[in-house]
Amino acid sequence: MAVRQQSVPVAERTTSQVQRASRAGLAGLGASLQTIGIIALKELRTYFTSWMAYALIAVYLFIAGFIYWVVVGRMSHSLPLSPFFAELAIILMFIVPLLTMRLLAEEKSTGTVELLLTSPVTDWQVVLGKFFGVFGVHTVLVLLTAHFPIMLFKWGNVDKGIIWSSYLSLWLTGGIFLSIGLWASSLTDSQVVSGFLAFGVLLMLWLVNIFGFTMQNAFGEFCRHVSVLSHLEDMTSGVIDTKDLVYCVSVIGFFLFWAKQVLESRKWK
Amino acid sequence: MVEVEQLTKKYGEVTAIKDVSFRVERGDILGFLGPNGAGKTTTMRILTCFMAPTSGTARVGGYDIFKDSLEVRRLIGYLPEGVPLYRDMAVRKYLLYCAALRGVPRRGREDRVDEVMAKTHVDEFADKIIGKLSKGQRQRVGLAQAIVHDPPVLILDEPTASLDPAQTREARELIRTLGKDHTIILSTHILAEVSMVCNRVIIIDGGEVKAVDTPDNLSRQIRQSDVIQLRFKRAPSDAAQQLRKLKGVQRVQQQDGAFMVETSLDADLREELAAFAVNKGWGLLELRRMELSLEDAFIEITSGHVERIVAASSEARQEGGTD
Repeated sequence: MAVRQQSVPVAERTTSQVQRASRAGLAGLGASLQTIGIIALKELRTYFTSWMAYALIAVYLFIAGFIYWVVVGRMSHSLPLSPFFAELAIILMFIVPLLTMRLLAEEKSTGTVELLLTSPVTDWQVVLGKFFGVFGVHTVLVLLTAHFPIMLFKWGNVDKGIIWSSYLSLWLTGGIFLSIGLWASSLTDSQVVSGFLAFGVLLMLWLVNIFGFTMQNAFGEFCRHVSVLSHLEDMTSGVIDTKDLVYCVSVIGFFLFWAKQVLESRKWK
Repeated sequence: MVEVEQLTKKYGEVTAIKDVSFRVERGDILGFLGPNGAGKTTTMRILTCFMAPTSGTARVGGYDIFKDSLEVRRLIGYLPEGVPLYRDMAVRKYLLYCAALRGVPRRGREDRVDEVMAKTHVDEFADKIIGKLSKGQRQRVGLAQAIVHDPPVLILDEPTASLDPAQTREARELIRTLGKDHTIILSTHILAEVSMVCNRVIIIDGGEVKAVDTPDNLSRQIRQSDVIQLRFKRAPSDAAQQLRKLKGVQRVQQQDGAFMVETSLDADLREELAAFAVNKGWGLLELRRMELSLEDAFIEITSGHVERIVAASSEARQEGGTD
């Protein structure tokens, strides 16, 4: 399967902007990234010092293993692995709200947000730090499923390109889900509400995708266009399109921006 | 070091603070005194850049809280009310995190944390999980995080609330020590605390600054009257007026069916009052001299007597003498 890569002038432009910015204040940028890193690392540690991360990983791997067994066992000849990755994405949908619900809601309900935001950090650094922290957990989660394709590499005959692009897709889908979860967590000081909200939005995304599949009318067409998941299905079939990557990053950016706005709104209330 | 100019904060229709202005000089320990809901926390949240005021401005170390918010926050160590800490972290790890977040360089960060832990006596439970600590211990961790980056200004919101007496004394001792090389703003509703720790006091009530003075001057103003509480079985409707006419009585207030008779300091009117009530046949049920602790006196101030005291205080100042 071909891995399609488009050359996009936007990407070049971004690079030159970054270069200019870095020349303007490399030290500032470094310090800023460092702050994001400090927050992200703290979040990551928090997940792994409680039982939360381990429990979720255990459940995730168990279900993933089960699906793998079903998918690979049932269709053993020249299988497309895309159903496997699609199922993994759906499990993520259930797990992500559990991961993200505490991110900001907990800080708000315990009041620790006050200490965080009165430290010399910007609201962006807080949001990005939180995001990358939980994204780290998700990355661990994705990496831990690596033994499934490795088994296939060893004993099966699979297109490695598809596997790689499917992983990229799973990784980025998780990113989108997490950004939605983080946004939901910024809206409330109740973890339960934030978890439900995130889950509701993710469920809507999924439904929109299903409508897009099943309805052949204009509404179906519309759903296909706005669907987050359909962009990612291309990838699980082995096509990495820069358009899809830009789309993913934009959606993540959109929800993170929104979360940052919500966080900032304390100042104009 | 800290200049606050006409800060006003409204939550919708409700005005939390109104035209609050004050200055804190380097090395001052300023006590922010007021009942709950007076606007202490709001003022502190604005100073620490957690919230923005509706109008007015403030500067910390010359930096504006809007324009140079990050600089301001670098200069400030903050202990919010209720000491919110990450309960699932160990003390040392938490302090290391705070130090990193506030820009303490990696080299020397561990040493700095050790130093702060020794100073605030949290070193004995450095590796315990914060959620498992007692309130007093948590309070000390709260203080430790506030000073971990060695900020010149400390803002402490009720630093001794919910501590037992021994711990309170210890905390005050610590704050006094910190006051030697920090500028401190602390809020409290305990007047005694102010007179023990602070060298300047702001009394705030209903969102407005009612008085700014040294603790000595203020408590002298506050303790200018005694209160005797009386209860009668058959008080006539004009009982308060009759009581007011008695010699030495300054003021009479009715509270939950009791009469609070305010007399000048040390003029013990209990005997006279008892005789008066018995003569009138009001059926004296209770006569009690209210032990006016400093706290009670302060509560009085902030529940309406304050104008009088402020007036007296400014009169005294104008005359350039004592009351």
